[in-house]
Amino acid sequence: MKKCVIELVAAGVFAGLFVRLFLEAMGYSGQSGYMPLAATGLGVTVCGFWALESLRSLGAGQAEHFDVSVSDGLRFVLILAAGLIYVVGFMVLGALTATAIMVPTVAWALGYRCLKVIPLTTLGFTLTLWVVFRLLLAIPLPREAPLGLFGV
Amino acid sequence: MDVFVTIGHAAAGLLDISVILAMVLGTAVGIAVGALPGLSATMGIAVLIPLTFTMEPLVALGMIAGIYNGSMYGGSIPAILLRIPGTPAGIATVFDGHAMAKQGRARLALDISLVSSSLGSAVALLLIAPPLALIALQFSPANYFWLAVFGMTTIAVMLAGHPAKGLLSVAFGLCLGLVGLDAISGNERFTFGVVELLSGIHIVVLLTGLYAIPPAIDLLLGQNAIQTGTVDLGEKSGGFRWSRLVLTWMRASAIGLVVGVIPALGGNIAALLAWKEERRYAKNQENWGQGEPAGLAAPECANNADTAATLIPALTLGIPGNAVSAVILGALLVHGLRPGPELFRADAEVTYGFMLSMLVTSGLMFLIGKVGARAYINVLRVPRQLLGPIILALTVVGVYAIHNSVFEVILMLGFGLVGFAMEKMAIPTAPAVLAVILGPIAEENLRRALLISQNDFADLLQDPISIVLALLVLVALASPWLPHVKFRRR
Repeated sequence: MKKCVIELVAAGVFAGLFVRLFLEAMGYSGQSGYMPLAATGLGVTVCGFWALESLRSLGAGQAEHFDVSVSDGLRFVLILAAGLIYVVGFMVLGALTATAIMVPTVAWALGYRCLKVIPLTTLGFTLTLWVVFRLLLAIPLPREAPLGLFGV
Repeated sequence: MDVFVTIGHAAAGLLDISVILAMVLGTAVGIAVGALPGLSATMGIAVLIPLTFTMEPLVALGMIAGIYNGSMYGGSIPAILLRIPGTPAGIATVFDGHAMAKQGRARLALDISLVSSSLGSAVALLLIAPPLALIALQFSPANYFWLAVFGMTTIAVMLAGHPAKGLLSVAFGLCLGLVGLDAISGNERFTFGVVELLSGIHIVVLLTGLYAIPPAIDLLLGQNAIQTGTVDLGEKSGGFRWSRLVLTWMRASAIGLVVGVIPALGGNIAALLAWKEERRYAKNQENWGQGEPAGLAAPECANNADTAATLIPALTLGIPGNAVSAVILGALLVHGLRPGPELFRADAEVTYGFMLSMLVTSGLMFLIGKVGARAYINVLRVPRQLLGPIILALTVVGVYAIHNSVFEVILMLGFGLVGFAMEKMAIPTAPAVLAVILGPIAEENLRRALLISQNDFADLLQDPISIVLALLVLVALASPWLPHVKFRRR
């Protein structure tokens, strides 16, 4: 797809968002509204310039393309899904358990196959997280669900 | 005299074992982060800020100073050995550094880079920042308003290929900075009824999202994959006449200092300028780009001088000149230090302590870089498929640790996706971060100025400093078109 078309769409989306925020800012009273109006007004204006520039490039037949291969797209979806599942797992299973599952799974899914390095790195990293956040900084992370199975 | 007493107290604070450990750890991690292509000082600091929450300010800032300095040197390792600049500032290092490595002089190249990086030091920061802060104390609210607007405008226009994209980033950042309760009127702004947004968006949530997630996605997508192969360090650097580089270091430091103080220019421009200037002075210009040691020393020294100099406007005026100094400002805010002239009065000991730690970590960088040279080369071999998920986990755990809030984790990941999209559309993220920091400063001073002048906007242009700053804003806005203006000869 032509890059200028993507940019034109993006400019439209951003402009829509800024218009929504501008309308919201119009409801703010007195000096509270000065900066929100200025910021959103600037946003709408520059989106207009950006859209015009993209239209000009489109009119001039600019050929710069932004291509994404199917494998890249799939990989991106996989990364997004991994991120979301990790956050859910983080809360449900516990921070360290979710990390110990996510790191090797993602590495394996992305094609890394070294059976020595994966478990060692995962173990080392999870242990570092535990030492730094729990022992040194004493930050309360979500409860580790597997430990509940052992009555801990 | 008081300044020296405070510096003395601050120096004593650095002798604390926890501060020393933090500086050593920060420097070691910083070199490793800088050595990994695609990762940067900004990303390293953004990821590690949450870890410093529970630390004493000086311990935390010592670690951050170490990461900052270390990553600047770390960027030269892949630049010299693999012809891949670890950081944008490493581009000029490639010219002669990699040529030296190809000639079997990689160890000498790494040593020159290390010594030059350590010398482009933070002395200037200690010498220039305090007097500048004294001058800044005289600034009126109107002056501050214009200064903040000038900071945002220059970064927006100079960092983006298209000024509209830079200003769009500023508008985005300004809106984010406004989210939450208005401190003066108590009005809710841009919260849309979400309770978690009432206290605003934590700067670390934004910084981590914008600076740590996009490189992690790139790593996972395989866009920063590198082939290291076998790296041969070559002969030892004994016998090299270091004294021939003294003048180079002095000139490059001066260039780095000047470039660093000017907003938006950055280490890459300092490094390239220093390389070009040194070549201009050189008698053997034909050797430049072919493995000339001075051609490596100049950019490395200028880059690290720039690193320290960038902090001068950030600490004294609260105006960060680039993304990494904005992240450091965020770190200072996290530890209750409000950058600006008052910093040198209200929190003098911690402020001078931070400046001294910049100096100390420059020295540490030399020791750690020398001892761990081989280990850092191995850092280049870390598989991206493992590094990506590790960064993701670190950011999630780190951001969760701020307020134990899953909402903030999701917000951070959302900012990460926005940052990734912005990168792909060549919209710079640094202006947004600067706007988040400078927007509230601009607003607070605008309202204070209007209060003094009883809502007379004309009062914003009453004194010479405000007029000059307003004119500079106009020049910055017009600068993309200035080279195209043709002046007619009479």
